[in-house]
Amino acid sequence: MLRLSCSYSRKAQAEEAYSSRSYHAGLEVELPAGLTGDQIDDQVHNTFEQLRRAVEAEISGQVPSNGDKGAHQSPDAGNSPAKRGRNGGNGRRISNAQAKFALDLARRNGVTLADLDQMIRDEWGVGGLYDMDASSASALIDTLKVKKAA
Amino acid sequence: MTLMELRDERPHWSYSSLNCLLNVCSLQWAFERHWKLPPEGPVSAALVTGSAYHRCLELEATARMNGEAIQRGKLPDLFTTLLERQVEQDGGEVDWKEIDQESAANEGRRLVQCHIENIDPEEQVVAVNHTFCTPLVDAQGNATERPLVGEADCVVENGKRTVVDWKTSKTRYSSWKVAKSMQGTAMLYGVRQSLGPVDVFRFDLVVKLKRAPAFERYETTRNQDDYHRLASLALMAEKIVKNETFHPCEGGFASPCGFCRYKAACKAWHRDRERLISVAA
Repeated sequence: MLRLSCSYSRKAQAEEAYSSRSYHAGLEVELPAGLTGDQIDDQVHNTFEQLRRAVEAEISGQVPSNGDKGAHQSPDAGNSPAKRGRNGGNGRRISNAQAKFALDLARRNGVTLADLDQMIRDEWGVGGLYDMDASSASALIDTLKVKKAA
Repeated sequence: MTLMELRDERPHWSYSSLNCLLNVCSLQWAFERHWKLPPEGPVSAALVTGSAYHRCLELEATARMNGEAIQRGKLPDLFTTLLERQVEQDGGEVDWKEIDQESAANEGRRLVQCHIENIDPEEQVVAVNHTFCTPLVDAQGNATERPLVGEADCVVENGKRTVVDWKTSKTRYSSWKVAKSMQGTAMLYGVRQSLGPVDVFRFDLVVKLKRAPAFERYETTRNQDDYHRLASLALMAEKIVKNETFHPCEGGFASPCGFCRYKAACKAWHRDRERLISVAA
């Protein structure tokens, strides 16, 4: 059994000039034994990404309501990505953290930005990465992970 | 989406943001965009007249794009109306020390007139105020945390596709300035990513000469290596922000500081820095 401990902290500007407020969140998860190095790497990225999104949402005050939670869908959820379209998921646009993660995965898979843009246009029917909604972005990340595993 | 919507949607880089942080003054950038201090004093007259000038040219180019008739002769007078409206929007807080409002209106009318007299009738307008939000990726595939957001004044076609930026200036541009322009790189990259292949970036400049304004066109091109270099600069900018290594531009008390609206905060920076660190810790 492996145990993964991730934490994320960020300073944001406070109301008073020249002052800041610190935000910190930690998460500990258990990983199954026998994962490859790449799989562990993915788990670290996923966990860190989740933490980062949660902290950023807390700072911006955009904490999703209960109705929004669990809105992320995989491409296999019986709802094709193209049909979901722009902002068709939970209404939120792709976050900067999601976009960065997708771009990092693309780089590690040897997928160029032009190829990634083409994939997004073909599969999701939108103009580019930052035109995607958050749930489509999750699906894109899943697709890139599968590519990597393959 | 409009530029305002794109800006509000997420933390981002723009040409002006990168230029301010890397080429003008990192401390000014931090006061405005990192610590978000309220600016001191009135808005510069150049900013207000520049907005009215752009609005006039937008109306003309949009009408041309849509094949609508527009009375170009009325555009210079429209400048005066738009200038008054812009001053109202800024709450009348405009710095008219260098030029008063009436003189600025007269000058603006002449500049608009000069621009419209030099429009190439063969050029087809493809887009006006074209916005983009696109990833920045360097030669090694490293992506920035923030995308590049921007708005091209105009995209035209006449055998080649050209991104046009409307400018006014007291002086002509040097070939070096045009060739090195970060704005040219950012605009060509952003439009290329969002609209497809683009050949050329062009400044359409009206020079404010004493006798009469003069119209100049400056063209330049960029390649993939330039776009990678822009991404590398943005990655470096993100390191500066992360480490908060902001400092004043000490040699810049002439031009950049003249327009800076954080002069008092800048003067106190080396004393308040300790307070900043202790509060943040």
